[in-house]
Amino acid sequence: MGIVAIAVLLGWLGALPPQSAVEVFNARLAAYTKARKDAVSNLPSLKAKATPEQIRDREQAFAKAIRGSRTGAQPGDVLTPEIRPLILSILKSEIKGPHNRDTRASIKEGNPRHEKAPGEVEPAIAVNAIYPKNAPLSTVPPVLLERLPQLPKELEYRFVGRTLILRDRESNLIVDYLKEAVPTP
Amino acid sequence: MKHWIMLAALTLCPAQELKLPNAGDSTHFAVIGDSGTGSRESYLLGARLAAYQQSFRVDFVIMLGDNLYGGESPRDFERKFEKPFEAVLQRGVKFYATLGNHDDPNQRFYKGFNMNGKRYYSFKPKDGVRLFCLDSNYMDKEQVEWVEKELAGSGSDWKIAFFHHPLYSSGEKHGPDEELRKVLEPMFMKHGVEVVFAGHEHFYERLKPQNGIHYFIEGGSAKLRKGNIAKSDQTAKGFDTDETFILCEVAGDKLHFQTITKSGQTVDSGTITRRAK
Repeated sequence: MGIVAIAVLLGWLGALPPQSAVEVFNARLAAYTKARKDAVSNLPSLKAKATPEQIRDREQAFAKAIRGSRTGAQPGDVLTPEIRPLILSILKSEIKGPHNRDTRASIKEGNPRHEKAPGEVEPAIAVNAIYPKNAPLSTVPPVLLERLPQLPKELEYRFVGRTLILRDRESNLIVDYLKEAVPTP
Repeated sequence: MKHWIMLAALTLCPAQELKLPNAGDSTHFAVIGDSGTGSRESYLLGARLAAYQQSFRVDFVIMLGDNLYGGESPRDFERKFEKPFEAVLQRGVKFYATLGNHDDPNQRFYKGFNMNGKRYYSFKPKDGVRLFCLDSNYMDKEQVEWVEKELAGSGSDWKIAFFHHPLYSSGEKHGPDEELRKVLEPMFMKHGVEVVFAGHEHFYERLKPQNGIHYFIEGGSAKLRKGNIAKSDQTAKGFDTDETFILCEVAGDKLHFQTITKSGQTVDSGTITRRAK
């Protein structure tokens, strides 16, 4: 907690080195996964060969429990102001410019802004909102996953339009987001 | 009513024009992709596949992603998968799915897709053949390391990979995923992957071998993007005017394939010979 407090203070002063920003981010991720684990600890585990009803019930129970555990969550709680410049800089270096055409094409694949099948929607972006079942999921190219700060197995990065979201894999909750993360070409 | 009569007739009628050796001890499987629409076409394709089962044993089916478009309620699982392929499932055939960009990753828990809770996995249906199912939506470091390790440890088996996004494609809508190709193809070449199946493009395409690897696209099992195959010198065969599935038979060092439309027309067939063990 002490490291986080110092890092946040340095961040306000605009003097936070990237390594410390990652440490702050990792601390927030650890706090999220701990709260999540506590919230879902009483829920029954899902079999590896489940019925659609069991999958649905589990997702809903997970989402309810996790939401309940972070009712006051705000944008920036996990994707902190300290980590944002680093993420934006990675995305800019890997997406912007004529030499990154393939990466730009890749993040449009499955991106709900660019590729919706009939009956599918673009998710409304908010902390603790459900990423709808009838929304496609964007590709996140390997080069970005290699360079972006690592996430715990419970979370993943996805793109919705130009917004980068952190998505909880089992509950489908949007945990946090970063608007205008994808640079314009 | 006409629809159901046609389905029943298809299921009961003997299959025609089987171009595969159909040996008793070989590995038989079918390939479908982008099948999860619940449309009339998906039902007809499922019935056609079931009709072929009367003359060709199908040991298992691989699904190349976009297994369920739109909603994923229990009713959707039924309407977009269980019902269209009911006759095939009733014969005890297992379906092995990969995740597409229209699929919620929690499909990995669904018993009918045999993913056992995993986004990526491999299975060995018979001695000498191993299939590798990858999650091409999210190729993180952990998965890349798994692919490398899993391929390295698979010995002299036939190595067949399947996932959603094609590494090569003549499609005008999507085209090849070149970012993914940079990561996967070197591993495929190093470890002797012979055949790769992908979906995503709503047509059938067989590419000329690229770096010794045979690439197929089968993303046209329930919806079509007619006229979307651009002229390319990479295309060995392209077809986009009817929904299709592929039957495959691995016998020794040969993989035989036959691509069939929901109307029963064979649009491609051939044999791939393994390069080296």
